[in-house]
Amino acid sequence: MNSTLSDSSNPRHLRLFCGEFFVYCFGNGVPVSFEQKPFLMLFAVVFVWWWLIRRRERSAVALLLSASLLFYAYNHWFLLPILLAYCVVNWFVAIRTERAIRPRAWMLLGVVFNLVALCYYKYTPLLVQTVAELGPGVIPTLPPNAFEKWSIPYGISFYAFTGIAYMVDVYRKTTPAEANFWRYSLSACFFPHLVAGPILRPQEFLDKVRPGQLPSEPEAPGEAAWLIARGFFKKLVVADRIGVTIDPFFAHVSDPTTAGVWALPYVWLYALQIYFDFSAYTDMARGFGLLFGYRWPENFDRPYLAASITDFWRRWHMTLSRFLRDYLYISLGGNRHGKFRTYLNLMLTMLLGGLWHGASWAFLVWGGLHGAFLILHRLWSGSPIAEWLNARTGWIHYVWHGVAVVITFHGVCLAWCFFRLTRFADSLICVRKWVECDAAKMWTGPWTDSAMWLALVLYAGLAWSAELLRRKAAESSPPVAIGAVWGVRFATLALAALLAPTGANAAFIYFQF
Amino acid sequence: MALTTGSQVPRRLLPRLRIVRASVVTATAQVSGRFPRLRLSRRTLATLCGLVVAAAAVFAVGEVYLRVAPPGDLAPYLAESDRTGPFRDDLKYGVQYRSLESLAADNPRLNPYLPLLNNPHAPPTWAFFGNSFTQAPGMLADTSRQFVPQRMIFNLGKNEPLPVRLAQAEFLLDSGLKPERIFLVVTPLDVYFFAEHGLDQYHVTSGGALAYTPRLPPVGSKAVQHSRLALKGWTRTKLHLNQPFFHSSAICNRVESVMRADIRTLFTHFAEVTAKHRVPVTLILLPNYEQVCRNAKFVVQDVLMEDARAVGFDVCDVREPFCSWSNKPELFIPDKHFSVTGNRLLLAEILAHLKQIDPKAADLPNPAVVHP
Repeated sequence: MNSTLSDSSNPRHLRLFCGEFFVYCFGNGVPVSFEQKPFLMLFAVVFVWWWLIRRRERSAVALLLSASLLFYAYNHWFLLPILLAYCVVNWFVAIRTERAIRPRAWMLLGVVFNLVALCYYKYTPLLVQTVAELGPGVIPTLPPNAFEKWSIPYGISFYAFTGIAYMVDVYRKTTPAEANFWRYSLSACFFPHLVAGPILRPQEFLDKVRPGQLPSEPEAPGEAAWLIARGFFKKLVVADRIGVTIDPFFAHVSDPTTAGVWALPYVWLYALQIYFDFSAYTDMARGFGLLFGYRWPENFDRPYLAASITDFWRRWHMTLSRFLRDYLYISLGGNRHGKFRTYLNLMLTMLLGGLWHGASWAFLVWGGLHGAFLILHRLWSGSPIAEWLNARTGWIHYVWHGVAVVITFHGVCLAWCFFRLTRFADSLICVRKWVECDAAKMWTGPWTDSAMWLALVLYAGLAWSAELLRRKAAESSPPVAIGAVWGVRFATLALAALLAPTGANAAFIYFQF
Repeated sequence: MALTTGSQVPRRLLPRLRIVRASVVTATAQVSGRFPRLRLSRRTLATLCGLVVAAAAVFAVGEVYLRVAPPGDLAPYLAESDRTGPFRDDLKYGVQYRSLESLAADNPRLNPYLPLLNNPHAPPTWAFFGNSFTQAPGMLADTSRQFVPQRMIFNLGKNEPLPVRLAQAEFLLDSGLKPERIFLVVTPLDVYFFAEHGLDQYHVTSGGALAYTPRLPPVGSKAVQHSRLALKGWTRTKLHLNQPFFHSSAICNRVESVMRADIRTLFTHFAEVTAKHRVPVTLILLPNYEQVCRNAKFVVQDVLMEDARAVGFDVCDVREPFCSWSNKPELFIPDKHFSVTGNRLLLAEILAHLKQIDPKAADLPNPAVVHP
């Protein structure tokens, strides 16, 4: 029984068009997300306002920055000083780095600040609880739920990395420091990418915010419309529906209630859920960015079709893997110091990448698994068998490619078990249930829900037909095809709204990072 | 409009494309002829045609999807579906169980009691009908078993809307259950459910599943009745509910007249049944977290008390001991059910109440023993 009533009442007379937004601002306890009404109302107001003043750069910067801060502070106004502190420090450090006699010192100062603040907010509970468990006498006994009200600022992992990338690029002289604090802050805080990326390089966004560069027209509105529609569909219809199906299994993975249940289909579905959820966010972020004239890089490129774990990381969360490669792996030495050092650097990079995702040792295990897979792949790639297989053509090549894709996918799924279930014991139980199950229960259970699988097929059909029509329209521009492309876009958006599960939608998975 | 546009169109498709082109040209001319002031170019009209056709195709696919695999949140509003259940239509409660076997199949918790229904040697039975505040592990029923061994505690194990709960009680009484007393445990949320679905919205599908007739829109009701996509969209607006603008948090402050009318109807029917079986009924009014800890009003309890007494039910209102408890949060667990302390306080108040009104309660434990 859902006996949890809302904690505060929303007086009926405040439910006016604008009033409802402010009631949500100050009376609700839910973070705003792209698919929620308050965001959509805010976006509509901001976009119309921007459209009216878009040729006045200073006004546009002020508007977009204010809207971004309002978006971030939505019922979490106490987190705003943290974001502003990041902006002030990063902006100041970058300028000093560019002008100082000892730029490296300033850059390191800025990076350390970003990392210390990130670690403090994300990892303090984990570290304190770990130390407390290691030895009762080391620190005083913690009361139960000692960190129950500890808040991790939304998006801190993303805007910390964005700031680090900026300061390091200024140090490396690949980008000039931005002298105007407001423009820099806009690049750091712009609401479409603030909370969950993509992690942008200065050349990809800051350069377009500099004086004289601010876009005054939407870029590719058709593409923007499709990205937003596709994102809504992926999130509301596919990802959330998968979540409703599989969450009860993961909630009870170590219970007797799931005894004998075959875990593998649920892990497959989780792999799909996290892909659709995260890529939906990226699609919407890119779409909203395009509407304001900013084109940002892709974050996903059909990752589950990767034929190796190395290939997987070229297709999954590409802006993060790019950041880890350019600012961590290469800084550690990359592959320039022999094989052993290369493997060590790989493992360190993936361990830290895992820990970046969340404050739990399970994320460290997740990163460690990927590090191990990367090392194994390097070892395998140099073997005679691998060279022989890669040199094959014809049906052997296709069969081997298929096998490699399946193996890679299941390796990634193995790691997802630790990502999804942050209690280590639960993760091991889940993995054990890949092979230990009752034969009678293998083909029964929520994972056989036809509505969910049909939603996947429906998405695939819509995406395929939209791409087909887009190419047709791009090749020859027949008006019917152009109209059909727009018809598919609008109808997909409407269908996403119609088919979404009733009730409160789940937050984006990557919002927790 | 060129047929061959540089892309390689298969020859076999050319005749069909010519037919399509002719249709578009004809439609364009007809529109231009009917609306001479419109003066849309052929290109614009062709674009609009493409847009409409594509959108219609996408919506058609969505309609097919909902017909082939209706999602769980839509299924309760379908007049007919593949869902099955133990119910049949009933004029009094909206639903009733088809048979004792179907009730037992739907409520496995009933099975251990079934021999007792006809057992003359069983101790006096208290039959509890309530939501998770009653039947969840560690809640009122379990607490009663622990502290009141003098009574056989009977309860089912599923959360059901109040009409279904009363239907269960009547069915069990008619099937031989002979409790000493029936305890109808009601929380504000039970009353809120009438804001979602009124009694007149309850119906049973041919498969025996409980379903609800959605309130229809003033415009487009035929579309909502015949198109699942339209129905899904309508349910997304939440205007299909009985009282769509009644927020759950308002239940402490008011009860709409239509909701109250449904409750009165149910109480009246149930009073007739219990009078026929000569089983006294005690309505236990539980406060929720907001009422105890946040000083919300007790309008819903006041309304229920009045309506229950009007039909002859006994009422046990425990608001006063809960609200005067020194450490109120201690009475609740994080999900806002009662804690062990809260359940013991509740049971102590029930025992104290019974000792005041029922001579048969003389053998019950001293409430002070139960009181936390």
